[in-house]
Amino acid sequence: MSIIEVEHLSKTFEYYEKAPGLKGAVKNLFHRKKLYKDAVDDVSFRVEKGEIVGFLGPNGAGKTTTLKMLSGILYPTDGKAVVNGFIPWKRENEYKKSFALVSGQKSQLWPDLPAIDTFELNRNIYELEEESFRGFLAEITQLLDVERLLKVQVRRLSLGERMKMELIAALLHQPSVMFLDEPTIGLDLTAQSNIRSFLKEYNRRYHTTIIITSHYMKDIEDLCDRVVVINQGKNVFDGKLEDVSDLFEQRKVVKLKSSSVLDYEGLKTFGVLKSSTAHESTVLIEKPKVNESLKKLVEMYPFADISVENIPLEEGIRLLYERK
Amino acid sequence: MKGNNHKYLRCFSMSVGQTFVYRTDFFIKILATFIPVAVQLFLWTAVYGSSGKETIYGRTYYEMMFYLTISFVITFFLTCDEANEVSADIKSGNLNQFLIRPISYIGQKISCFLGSKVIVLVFVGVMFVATILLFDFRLGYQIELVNLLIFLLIILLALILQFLMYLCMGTCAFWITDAWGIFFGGRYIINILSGSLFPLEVFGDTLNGIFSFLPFQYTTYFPINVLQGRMDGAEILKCFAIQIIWIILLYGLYRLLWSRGQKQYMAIGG
Repeated sequence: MSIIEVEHLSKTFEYYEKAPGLKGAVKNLFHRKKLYKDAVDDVSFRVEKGEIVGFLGPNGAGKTTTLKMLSGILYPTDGKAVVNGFIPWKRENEYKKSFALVSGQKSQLWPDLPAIDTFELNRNIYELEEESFRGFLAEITQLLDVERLLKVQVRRLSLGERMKMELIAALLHQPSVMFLDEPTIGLDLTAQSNIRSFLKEYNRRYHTTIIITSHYMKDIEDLCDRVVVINQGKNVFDGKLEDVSDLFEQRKVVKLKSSSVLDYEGLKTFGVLKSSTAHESTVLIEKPKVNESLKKLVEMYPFADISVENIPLEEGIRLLYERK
Repeated sequence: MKGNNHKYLRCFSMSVGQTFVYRTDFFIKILATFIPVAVQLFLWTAVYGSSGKETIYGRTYYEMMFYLTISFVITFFLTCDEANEVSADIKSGNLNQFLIRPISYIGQKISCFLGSKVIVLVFVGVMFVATILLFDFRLGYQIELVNLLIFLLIILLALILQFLMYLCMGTCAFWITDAWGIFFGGRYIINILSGSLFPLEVFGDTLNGIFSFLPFQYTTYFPINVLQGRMDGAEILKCFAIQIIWIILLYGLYRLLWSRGQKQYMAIGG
């Protein structure tokens, strides 16, 4: 059995139309038109223990709503979900002790007090053993390199430092499942990369199952083998990251560098010429023809460098987002 | 369940720590509570001076001054910002943090509320003793020890009652996105009908009789009357019962609002 099983999960929000202007506002007092929005519409996927799965989709696709249902914050309108053997929205304490939700835009730390105070509070809330708590805290503060910041008022930490503290606060009870909702949002490149390598190392040591959403492709490329993509509340892709671009592109990107001047007309016979200068060229070549074409090309020009790449991931993801 | 109680103790002590962070704010709050009282002191001095009567609404001048001063001390002690906090948690989606952790929301809130009163209590205690010493010989009678003890008990219940009133008000945010107007009006009604601005005799017997069925006066008016020895044993017992009943009713109301609100909760943002 998979550690996370989501089947036909749906959530419909009800809301009221707000008519514009003063006249509309007065009218709204007496009669309001009810509207419905299917935030999540029949989403299904499974996650195995120890996996890191990227959960992708454009803004408003229903990622956060799905994570909220899996955390038991929202009741679904329809469908099933089982995480760690629990139904999340029953909100059993045993379930709460087995998972963590970290959001880049929400804080559980007390801003007026140093982070260590919130950690101690969590030790009490999750009823952790004093000794193992100390040991574990020492281990992850070292891994994240924040030992010297533990006693600093949270308000005075930088965003990157605060995010590290959020992660620690969420991990203290050693959850077996983690939901990370844009944990790197707004962070600089170094901080992003620190968080990524931490998550990777943490997952290696503790085999924590992680679902992560992020709009930074680097996060996903570095951490996830598999991605689940949703759009307008519906599943649109579930599979290996490198397969995303295959969905759309049956071609490879071949980059050529030559010591002699390249002949454009000749190159055009192999595929679509994307960009070209005197000594450098990028050609899109149909996948089945790549091997054969390369052989011919090598015979024709004295190449200094040749590389064959997939269509860039971001491009593939973007096309996926745009597909209705 | 020692471990279970422990987390609320931790909230309590963290909240005590937090009151030390903003000291200026603390003193400004004292001043803000005192200003309307100072206005009342001057106003009633003028009323007594111009009327020429010994007693107004059954109170001598010094009894009235004593009432107003003690009411200032109590009001400051009972100050409650919970309605705003609860509604902010609901509106901002911060409530999520409580829902996903094995801790009860009201448990955490009341622990923090009580914790935030520890430092206040030191100040209030000093003010309280000073007020009693200041007025003791002017009142024309001694404050009885037994009344003082009853007062201390019911003021603790008043604190709980006050907390529950504001808590229920705060949960309105489940249904009303901007409940600021309700809190503003609610605070006014609570302040006036609790007797924290002036003794409730001002409203006359009929209105006051109606008000005695409402929870408000059991936070301020009732404790002061006990302290001043204006009530006999039977009356105290009756009021005490009403105070307890309101605490139970409001807790029930909170539970109802909370569970209904949960179904409504959108968990907005992030």
